[in-house]
Amino acid sequence: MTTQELTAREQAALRLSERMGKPANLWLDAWRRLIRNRASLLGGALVLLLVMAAILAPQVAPYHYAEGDSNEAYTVPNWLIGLLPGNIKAYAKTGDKFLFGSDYLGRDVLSRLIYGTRVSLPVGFMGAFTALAIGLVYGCISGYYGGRVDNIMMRIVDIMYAFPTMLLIILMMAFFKSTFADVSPGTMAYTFNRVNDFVDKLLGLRGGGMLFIFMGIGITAWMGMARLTRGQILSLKEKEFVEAAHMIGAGDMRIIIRHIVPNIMGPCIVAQTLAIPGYINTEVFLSFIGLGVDPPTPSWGTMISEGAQAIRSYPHMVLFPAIALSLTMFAFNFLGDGLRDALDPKMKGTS
Amino acid sequence: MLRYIVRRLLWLVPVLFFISVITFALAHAVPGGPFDREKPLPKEIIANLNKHYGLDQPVWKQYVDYIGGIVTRFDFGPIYSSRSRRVNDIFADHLPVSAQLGILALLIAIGIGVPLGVLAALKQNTFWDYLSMGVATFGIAVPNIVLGPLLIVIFALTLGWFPVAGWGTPAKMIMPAFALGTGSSAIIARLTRASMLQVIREDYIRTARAKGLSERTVMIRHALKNAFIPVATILGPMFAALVTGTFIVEQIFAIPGLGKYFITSITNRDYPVVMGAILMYALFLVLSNLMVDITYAFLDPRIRYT
Repeated sequence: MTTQELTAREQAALRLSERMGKPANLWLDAWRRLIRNRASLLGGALVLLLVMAAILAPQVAPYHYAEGDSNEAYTVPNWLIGLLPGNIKAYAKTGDKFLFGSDYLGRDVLSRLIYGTRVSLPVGFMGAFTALAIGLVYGCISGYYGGRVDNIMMRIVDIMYAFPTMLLIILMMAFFKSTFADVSPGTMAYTFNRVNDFVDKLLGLRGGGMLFIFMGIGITAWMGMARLTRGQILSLKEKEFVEAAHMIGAGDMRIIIRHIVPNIMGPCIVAQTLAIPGYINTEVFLSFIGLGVDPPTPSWGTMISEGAQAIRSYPHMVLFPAIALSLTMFAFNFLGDGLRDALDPKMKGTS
Repeated sequence: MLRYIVRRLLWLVPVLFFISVITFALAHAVPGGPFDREKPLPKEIIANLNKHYGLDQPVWKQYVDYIGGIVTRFDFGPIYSSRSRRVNDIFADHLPVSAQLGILALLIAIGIGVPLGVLAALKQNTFWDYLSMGVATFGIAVPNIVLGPLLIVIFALTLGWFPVAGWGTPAKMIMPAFALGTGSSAIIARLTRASMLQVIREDYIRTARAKGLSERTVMIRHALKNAFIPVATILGPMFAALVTGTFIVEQIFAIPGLGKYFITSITNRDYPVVMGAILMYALFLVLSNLMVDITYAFLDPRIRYT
């Protein structure tokens, strides 16, 4: 028995006594558990930093993301030379002007990375939001009403599931890209284009085609969510408190919104936080194969793709976007894991 | 068991039917045709080409002809961009490459993932546990689009252990397969750990120990075999995802697989190639899921299919 252990126990007792009389609040408790978890705190801080970078991009970025001097193309930063393959010194331009070097058009890699958060983060958050919105409604209807409705709705999901997701997104993107290129006023494509311009402007990008990426990801993202929601509701709707709500005459809508949804929000949010890296990765993948954002909008995927082509000679072009992408993935994964442990302590350490 | 397999195989028909209809509709809904060029071809030539390939027919007729060709002659149709080769030739040349890469990646994923998960579970909350799970988190957070270039920079350019790109010799296969498999190995490791932790607390493990079996036998014959069931569940979709997920790795390592063809054929409106690739991948997905269900019966004799 060490004193440390005693104090830990005392602290626990203290916490309990502080709570006396106060009702237990799921979200407050979860918050307390979350900020005690160091890894998720780190992840959260990183996410916050990325969000700040996205918002303050014009202030933070040292150069413009789309303008460069081709005389300064392929500049390798001095500090990096030692870490790269030895013979690079023989042919590469070196300089201290760009902290992370410049790309094949002489554009600053750091500035493009910073502006790239304006593509990656919205894609991640919008993907999670659409999946949550569509999946929750779909799963609620399917799970709550059951029977034939459930059967038909779930078979639809099953068939969508048998689709190789990546291929479906690629097909969708090709469809969007060429259908909505039409700009004659009055057509539906024109309206979509206007909305897209608005979205791009909102994000402060010069023509990125972000709306179509949101749509492509949203169309495939909701299915997992719908299954999760349905499963949760199937077990919840037999519980006593739902029965009690029925008894006092609550309608279906009220039961779903007031009694069931608050109870399944936790797992749903956790699932979506952990899915955000997947959405970001999808956008990176799409941009990598040339079906994502339109140039000159800087996407990390485009940067990696451009860098991969010059990887033998100028590895710095691919290195930095790759590191940025992994850091983002780490951040969201840590945050998601922490959220899961916080919202559902029983799950802690099991996966 | 046989009846179950037959029934599952029959389910393939409606699933593939729906997928083919959706894909066909989507592919044909994209404006433009396969013979649009920067410098437009004369109208008569396009009309002739369309007639030759049957593209002047109504879409439903084209669909019926296409499916008819597959069912009766196992012919996946022509390639519009090449006169001498057909889709079947592409499958013969490039599908094996993608499949090899996928299988190799899956083997790596299992080979790394399962031992890592078992180690973490047996030494729970020790240094080894944290180390394994740290490695697993690394695998999840570093996607293959990042890992591919990193591997090239480190092992090909700096250390010079492996060739930078290409396909065909074992040395060229290692890096791509590794880049593709690590992400999955991380998922497998986390799942194995979780399910091992659950299984080793079961009564039958205590019984096995009480019988005086060696720890090794208990762990391998009794614990791991049961813990493997949830892992097997994700192996099906995972294998399909690995085979379909080869685009990026194929691109980075310049591997002549099916993925590259698929992407260029979409932008070129080469409908038969798009259709063929999607149907092939869907078939992969459904078949690998069936294989998983059959493996269950071997892992757990209580599971019976009727």
